[in-house]
Amino acid sequence: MHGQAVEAETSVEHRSDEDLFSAYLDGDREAFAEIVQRYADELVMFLTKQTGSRAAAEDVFQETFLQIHQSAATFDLSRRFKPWLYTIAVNKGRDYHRRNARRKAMSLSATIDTSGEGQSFADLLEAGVDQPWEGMMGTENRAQVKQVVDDLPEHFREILLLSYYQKMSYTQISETLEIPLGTVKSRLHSAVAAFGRGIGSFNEEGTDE
Amino acid sequence: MSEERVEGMNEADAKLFDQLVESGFDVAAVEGIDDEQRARLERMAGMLGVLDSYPEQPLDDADRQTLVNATLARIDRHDAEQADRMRFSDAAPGAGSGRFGPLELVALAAIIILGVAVIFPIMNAGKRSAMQQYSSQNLAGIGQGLLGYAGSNDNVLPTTRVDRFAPVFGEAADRLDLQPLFEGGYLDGQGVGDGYSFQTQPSHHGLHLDSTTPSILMSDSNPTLEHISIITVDQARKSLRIQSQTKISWSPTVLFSDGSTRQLTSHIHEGDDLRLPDDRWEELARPDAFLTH
Repeated sequence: MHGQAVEAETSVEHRSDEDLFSAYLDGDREAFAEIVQRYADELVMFLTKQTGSRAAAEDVFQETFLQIHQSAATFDLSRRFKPWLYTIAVNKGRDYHRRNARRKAMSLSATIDTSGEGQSFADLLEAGVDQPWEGMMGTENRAQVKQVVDDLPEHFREILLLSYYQKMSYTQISETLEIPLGTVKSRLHSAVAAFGRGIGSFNEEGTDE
Repeated sequence: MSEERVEGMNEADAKLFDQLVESGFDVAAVEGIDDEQRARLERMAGMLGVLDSYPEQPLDDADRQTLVNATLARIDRHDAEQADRMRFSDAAPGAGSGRFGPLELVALAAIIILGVAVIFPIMNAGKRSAMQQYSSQNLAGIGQGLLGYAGSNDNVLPTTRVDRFAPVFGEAADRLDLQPLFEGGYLDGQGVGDGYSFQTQPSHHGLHLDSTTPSILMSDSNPTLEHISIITVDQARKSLRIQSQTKISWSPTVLFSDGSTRQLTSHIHEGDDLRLPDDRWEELARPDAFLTH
């Protein structure tokens, strides 16, 4: 009996998201619990960066799976589950920001220095130029990194998170954010440039002080 | 905020970055680039590597299990609330469903019938009252005109013979003629035909004003009756003498020969009689009868 139980547990863990969700649609509640368990770590980490708060991330995580549960009947089983999950998670994260509206509404022009006085993104990558991010590596500067990420405009932050942390391809990001591929590329380019300028600006401020 | 305004990455860097993304941010996995491009790509990856320093605390087993349990409990709570709402909805028949049961239909019909029973008489009473007031004013004006005319014409009212009504009202029936009132300036207006109901008078009523008992000269509406009880029949005049009344459906406003107007509680007045509109009235299944004053 014990051996059979272990075998059944193992088989659940190895089933694809889509298989589990299909089973859940057929009434298998354990299958849904397995999906929630499976994505707990990575989705909470993603939402922590998107919302800027662990507590908010856990709340948005619950809202995301509640929405999954409510919209289960609309899911196309021929498609992959993960992009759908992230689509809902990103939207719930946006809802959280709208509700709280505590995040500073930074304009893009403010994020990227267009005055010409600072270094451009291309300049930052030139050989022989000081690499401002080198001073931000390590545990002592984590708060600064968090501030740079948190200060990014919301649509830049979410696409950067999906690309860098979740290692999503352009196509997957396009599917998740439901925007054209060309927009994904141009937006990610801008987000990375904004991030680089943010690091540069932060480093300059630290030097000035 | 327009994304088109953002010029943060030139075309060459953008192409390099695209390769970095497709390689999963592994510079070593990017192929087909020269040393200078690879060095640039490594700096790009190094910059993005700062993101690894983002402070985050991974879930431990207890945190994870708590989060999963809380998520499932929240879903259960939502389902329970949804079920409660459904039960409440079911408990209120017809609420939100757009369906009516027999009880609701009976109640609705009763409400409609009560509404009609209350509102229609009120509306009709108001309308009738307004019409009677209007008719009374008209008839009073006509009465003053008639008196004025009679005062200038030996107390004789203006009459005319209407032969085409003879089959109905008897031979050589006299009818009040208002046209002389307009022509003589006793009544305002251009002529007759609109707004007044001409009442044919039997000759035996007499149209002189010297009668001690005022008689009805005219009424504000055509006093057609239906389903009357015939008491006596005057075959010679094709008339019915009324001794009792059966159906009263309206109360006419009438003009008396002394110039006064009055609203009769009954459309029957002493001395009135009924005239049949057709000589073959005895052959008709249900003859209408005209009340004459």
